Amino acid sequence: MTTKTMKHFSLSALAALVGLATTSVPSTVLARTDVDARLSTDELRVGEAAHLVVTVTGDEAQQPRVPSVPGVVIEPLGRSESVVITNGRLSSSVDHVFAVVPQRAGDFTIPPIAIGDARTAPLRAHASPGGARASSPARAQPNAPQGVAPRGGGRRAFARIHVDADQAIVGEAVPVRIKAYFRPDTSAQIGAPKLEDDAFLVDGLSAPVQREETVRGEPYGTMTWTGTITPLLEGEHDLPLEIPVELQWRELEPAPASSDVLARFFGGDPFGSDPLGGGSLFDALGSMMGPSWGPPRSASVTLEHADRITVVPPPSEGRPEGFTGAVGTFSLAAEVDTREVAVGEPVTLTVHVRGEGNFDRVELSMVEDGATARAYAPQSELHPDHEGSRSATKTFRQSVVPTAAGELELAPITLSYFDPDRREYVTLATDAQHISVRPGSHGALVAGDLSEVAPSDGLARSSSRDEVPVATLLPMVPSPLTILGFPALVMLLALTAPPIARRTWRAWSARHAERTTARQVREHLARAERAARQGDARATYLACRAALQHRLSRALGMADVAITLADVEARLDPVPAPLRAAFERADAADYAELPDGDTDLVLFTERVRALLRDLETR
Amino acid sequence: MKRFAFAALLTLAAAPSLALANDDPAGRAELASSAGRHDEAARELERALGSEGWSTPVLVDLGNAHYRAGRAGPAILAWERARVLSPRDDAASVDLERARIERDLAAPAATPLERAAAVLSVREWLAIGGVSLLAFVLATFATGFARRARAALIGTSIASGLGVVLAVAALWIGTLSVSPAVVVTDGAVVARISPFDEAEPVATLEPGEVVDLDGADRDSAGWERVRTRDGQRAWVPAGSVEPIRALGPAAGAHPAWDAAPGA
Repeated sequence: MTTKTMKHFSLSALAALVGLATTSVPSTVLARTDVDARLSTDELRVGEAAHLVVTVTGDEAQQPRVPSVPGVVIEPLGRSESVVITNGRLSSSVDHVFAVVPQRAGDFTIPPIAIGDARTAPLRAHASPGGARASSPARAQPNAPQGVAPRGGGRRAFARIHVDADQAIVGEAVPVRIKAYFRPDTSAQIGAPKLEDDAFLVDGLSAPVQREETVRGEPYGTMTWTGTITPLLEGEHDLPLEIPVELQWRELEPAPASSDVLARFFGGDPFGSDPLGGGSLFDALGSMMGPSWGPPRSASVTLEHADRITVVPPPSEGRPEGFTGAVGTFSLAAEVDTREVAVGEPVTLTVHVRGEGNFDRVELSMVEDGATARAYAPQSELHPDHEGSRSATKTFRQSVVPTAAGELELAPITLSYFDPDRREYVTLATDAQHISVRPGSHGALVAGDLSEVAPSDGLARSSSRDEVPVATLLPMVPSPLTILGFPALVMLLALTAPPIARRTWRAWSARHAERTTARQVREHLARAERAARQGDARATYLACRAALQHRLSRALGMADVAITLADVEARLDPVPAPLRAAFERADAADYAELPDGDTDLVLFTERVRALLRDLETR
Repeated sequence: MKRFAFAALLTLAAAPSLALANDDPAGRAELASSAGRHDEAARELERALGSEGWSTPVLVDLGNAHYRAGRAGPAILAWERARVLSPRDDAASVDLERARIERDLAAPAATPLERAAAVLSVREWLAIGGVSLLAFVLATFATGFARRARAALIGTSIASGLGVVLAVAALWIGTLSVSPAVVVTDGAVVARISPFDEAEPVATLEPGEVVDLDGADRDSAGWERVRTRDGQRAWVPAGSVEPIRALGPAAGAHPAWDAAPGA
């Protein structure tokens, strides 16, 4: 139980599972209800049980009620269900099993059993007198085939092993089928089948398949395992099978035992024996109580069986040198994961062996270490096509690391095996694999030879010997703030700052220009006032014009010295009189003599000052 | 006499290098390694890391020393760390590949984006990101004021901005989107379903196997929760695994490795 998988074979559990499965199926796809009944035998003996099986198809939820039959005890034993899907149509059926025990000799008839509108035919049987008493189940004996005998004949459980061939070659995989049989009224815990024999290797026993079968008119639940065996030694061999099982069942106890109970209760039979030979009163009372179910019985048994096979060796004649004992039919294919690598980069060589046979003996001589490549130990995996299948694919993978630049050729891989169908040896070979190896991409590997950087044990050394050590392997705090937040903040600043700065610069420049203009205007005006007080008309007019030119230069967008009366007239309409006079008189002062004393210079300067204030406010 | 003089000359010539080797932990490690004393070499290289900081050649040599001493776990940890520092250093990659083949260990799975991000180290991505950010800021400012060559400045700004985005994405993928990877360093470790010794075993992690730390509450009183290669979540003793990306300085010699050959 600890190391082997124990399968609990219980019809009631199976019924529950299948019942659960069938309840999930829409009722519309179920077939109509049908009912059928059959008796395991129509010749019975008084006190012995026969099996009545009532099969309900369609509406399996209904429990059949078996009408009572005088002189016959009918007790339910259990039920089993099965589901069949044919061409997409689902049908289910339930077998209700009853024990039928006649209590007296003679013919009896089980009336029709009805489920809805469906009903069975009446069943007729005959009971002979003198049934045997129930006996305890016998423990399995070592003779094959073995089983446990239930009351009423037959066997409660037994096993069979069947090897598909009478003769096999050493190493040849031979299909084998193992089957265990159990009566429907028996629960069993089943251990894994044992096929322990040094002459055979057992491989890939499938999970058991449960079915129901009839053997010599008796219903049985069966469990079937399939797999392969590989003979290892030549000669005649018995293939012994052992299946450990724990059985549980109940049996009908015969009625006469009840008279003993009454006698024990009353301390003896006060009526004594019938002098006419008809038996005592207690015997009569006991026979009226009928049979009853006894206590649960159990037994741990080992089901045994054996089959015989003759094993012959593969012929020595024509045996190839690389033959490792593989027997079967195989094919061979090889591939590499890349055709171009750099020195030091691994290439994976994959070889697939596919077919049927003893894959445990399929071994390949893969690539070996060489001057231009280092080959590592290959690894293999076996992938059966399906569980318990003889056909499979065995895949060999090997890593090969080129150690020198150039063309690397991986030699063909060969497989020799014996084909039992053709009765001859076969040798297969793959194509050679060609790989272009370029020099390494960095540091000393540029030299093209790994051995230059690899000591004798093949471990490489770093070429960046002058690297400056660092304090941490992660020179930043790996958080969203540092990785995303900081650059985003800086970029946002960079995008928003220029317009603000440009606006600020322009405002500052404007203020600075205004202050400069105001200062120059004040200076020229002060000079004009001094000249006016001194009576210097020319200097007064020139200073007044200069002050006006400075004031107008920003408004007209021109250099101050370049502004003429014509420019002013073109932009200002009308031209203020002091402005015109200042330009005309200053121009006259530049190019001609000014008339003396025609103007009050101080008053003129005051008008220009007022004009400048007016222009400033504009 | 001439022979004696020649020998003395040779000794004098070799003296500086011998003295250097004796003073320098890496030099002492090389001497120990060449003499086949790989445990001693590993200890010296650990000291070199502790005193000088992380360095690719020292990490590769440390991995080699551990591997030669039969400790696949610490060896793979050292080589993985070397690859963090220098992803394109062939020595660490070749040694890792070989060790994984020999020990039948799978390389950590990585998406194409993660492989692309691992082409450069974190430092290199940071440098690219920093330079790109500076160029972006300068070009963008200059674009705001310049009256000439504005198209060139805008182009520079866009290109450097893409550089920033690329570096940020690589750093994000390489450090944040993946779970912190740890290497099993302490022999074969039994991963359990809960963080206590009696809990049901989930898997056995081989020395050198790389697994990911799992979830935010992944540490519990001396246990770390990891995600195995087949996606199972399990707890392992905290001392049995070490993170590849160490934030701090190298810790120096690892006393447990002296007592755990074959880890």
